[in-house]
Amino acid sequence: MLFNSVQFALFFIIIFFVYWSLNKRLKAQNIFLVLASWFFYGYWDWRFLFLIIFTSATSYFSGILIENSKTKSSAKAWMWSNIAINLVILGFFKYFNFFTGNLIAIANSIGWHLDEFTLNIILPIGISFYTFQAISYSIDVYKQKIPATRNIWAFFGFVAFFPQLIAGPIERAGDLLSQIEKKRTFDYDNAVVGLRQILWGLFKKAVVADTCAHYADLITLNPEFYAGSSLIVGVILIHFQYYGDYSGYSDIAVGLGRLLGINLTANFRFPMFSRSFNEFWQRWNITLMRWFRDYIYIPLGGSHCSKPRHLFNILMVFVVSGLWHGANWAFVLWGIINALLVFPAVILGIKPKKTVPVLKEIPSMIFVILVMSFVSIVMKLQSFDLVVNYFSLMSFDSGQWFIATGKTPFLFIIPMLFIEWYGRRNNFALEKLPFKTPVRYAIYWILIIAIIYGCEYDTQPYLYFQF
Amino acid sequence: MWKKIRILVLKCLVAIFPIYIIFGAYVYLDPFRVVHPSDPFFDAKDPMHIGWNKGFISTEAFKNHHQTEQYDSYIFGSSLSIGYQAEEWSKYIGKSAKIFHFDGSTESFTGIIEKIRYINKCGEAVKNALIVADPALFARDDDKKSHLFAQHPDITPQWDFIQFHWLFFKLFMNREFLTNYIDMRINGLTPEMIAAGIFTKEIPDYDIKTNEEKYPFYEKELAENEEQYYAKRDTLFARNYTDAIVLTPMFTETNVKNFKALKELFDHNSTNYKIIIHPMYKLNTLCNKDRDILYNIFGKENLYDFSGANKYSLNKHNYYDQNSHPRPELCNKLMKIVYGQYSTDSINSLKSL
Repeated sequence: MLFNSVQFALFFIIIFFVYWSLNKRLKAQNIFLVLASWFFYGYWDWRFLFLIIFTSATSYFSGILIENSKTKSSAKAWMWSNIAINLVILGFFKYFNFFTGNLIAIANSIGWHLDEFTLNIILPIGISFYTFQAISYSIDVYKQKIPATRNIWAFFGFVAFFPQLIAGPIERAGDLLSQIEKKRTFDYDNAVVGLRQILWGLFKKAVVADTCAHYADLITLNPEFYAGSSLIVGVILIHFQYYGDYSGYSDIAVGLGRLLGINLTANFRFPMFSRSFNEFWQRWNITLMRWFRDYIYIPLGGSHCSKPRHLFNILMVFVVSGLWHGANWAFVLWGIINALLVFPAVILGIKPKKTVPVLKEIPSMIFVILVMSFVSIVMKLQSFDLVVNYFSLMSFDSGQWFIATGKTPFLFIIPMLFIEWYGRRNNFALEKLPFKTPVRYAIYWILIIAIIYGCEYDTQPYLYFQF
Repeated sequence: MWKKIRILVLKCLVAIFPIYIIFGAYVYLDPFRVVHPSDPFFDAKDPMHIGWNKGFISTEAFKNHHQTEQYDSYIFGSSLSIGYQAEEWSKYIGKSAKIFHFDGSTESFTGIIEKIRYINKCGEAVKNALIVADPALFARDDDKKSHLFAQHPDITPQWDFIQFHWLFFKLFMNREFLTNYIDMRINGLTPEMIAAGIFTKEIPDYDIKTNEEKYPFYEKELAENEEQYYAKRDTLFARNYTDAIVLTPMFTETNVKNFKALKELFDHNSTNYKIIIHPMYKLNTLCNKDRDILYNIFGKENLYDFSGANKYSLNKHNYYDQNSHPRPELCNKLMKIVYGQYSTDSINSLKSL
């Protein structure tokens, strides 16, 4: 049930009305929220419902055990037990074949001949997201940042909250669980902003990302059929595909949350207007990077250590981030490249800018977009050989910059960038529309028509589902 | 709270106003005849000459007529089956047979299975069946998600009513289609539109009860001057080879499972069935390994392979076009062989050509 599907629209309309009709009974509302979330999850594959229920239950009880522990060491043991359980599940479903494959390769290289052993494992959708939430809960309870909850339905709702269950944003218990535990009130203004955010997210996903995906797939699957300069256009399309897809999904998730009276964390904050690579990573997939910051980077020593150690900590964050995206050495390479791009600013002590981007900074923004586009080809192709082949075919030869047939994705990318630029001071592009009603509605209509009209190609599943 | 929600809903209903207009136009105009399908589907007076989904038409026609007609014999397959006509087939299976041509554009093997299951679900038997296949049909095991080939949502579990209509709705919104469609509604059909491949001026003769199509415009042209017909299409029929193209082994476990499922369905229905692998103008044929799989499951007495290079496929006069759409004369000859009326012209002699 994709967010940009008719099924989801019908599902959400029903959920919305039943949810608010239960508003006077918080427990019933939370039970309904959990059941709705489980239905949403089970719609993909009901078998994995047991997995999410198991993860929720172990994390819930581990929280109580951590809090009830008489000694620090037993609290720590409970925390690590829950982390281990979650990582074993994640490791099995996501990394088993990767690890066995590499183990066999190493064994074979030193003369021990092992037979190839892989399992046909289906990756449960969204497992990386809810596992991270469950792990962070245990750590936060252990560190006494939050109390362990005794409200099991609220906790199950925190792990499985359907708007962000499949592809984030990754929420902390301190932000999301605390909202689910309390009575929600319907906030009209927030709901209107939520609807706008959904509309904008749908535009980015269904129009920008899916159109870019169509061309990006054509080019990357058969690069030898295209002029070298088209391959350069191809990497830019991949970058915008990823941006439209991830940020579109996040916008829809946050918008849905607002309609249910729950504020989720913004996951993208105009990364296309980043003026440096370290600024880019503060604007792109914010909740994931914050998770790595709090649970990997800071425990490793963060920046309060020697420069080489600081660089090592950054490298580790990006390598783990790469592996989080996929069990493949290409993702590790992707992580290393990103770390290397961030290193110069760290070495020179240049902090990311906090100011609102201005026109004269556009050259540096274009530079970041171009470099990040070239990096995204690694994630797209997920193979060293294919990446090398792709780069070897790139050239500025014929000047055939655009593919001749069909609509050009830049027809959508450029207006999107203009609108984002206009709204760059807000949480998302359309958050504030200080226009008279007819103008506002005209904007909505144009976007709706663009979504229907632009939605020409097969609906693509959200890329982050695979993570 | 509910007052605020009511206001929000009302504003949403205003905000999605363009959807009503577009969706209303789709429902009212129904250019693809999938919203309110009606007999006859192929009507020369109909201004809409779009390439329609034949699988959908076949299913609707079956739904509309099976109770009155009490069909018991079916011709399945893709558009290659058009030349296999009910009247001719009835000579071999009995004049009393109630025949329905249950075809679909670029039919898939699973599509045939789904259609037979649907026939059974409607309470009808499959006493006789004739499957006309191109070699690739056996390996097609899913619906093509495009407007011409998508299976009717009533017969396939692969998608539902909403997904089916969403496909057509999106096509309705396709820029190229919409522009041409509006132009056509205002100015009528022009040669440019026909050249663009969206519309056609040629409407086949359609038998509402057998769901059979005939092509009088081709036949008329052929009758007037057969040589000129092919001379006009010389470049399309151009083929600079005469050897068969043997396809690489393509059957997967899923394909084999499907073959067995079809065999079980035929056994369950006690069906007298024949499978014809049609002679393809491109001379492509199954490899021996794949053909043997089919022989093992369906038996040599039920499966007849005319594909590859032979006197039928090498002669362009057997086809309406280069896509192997056959003229009825060719199909009549093949049916005679299949039902044992030609004693001298056996499959073995064909293979030796």
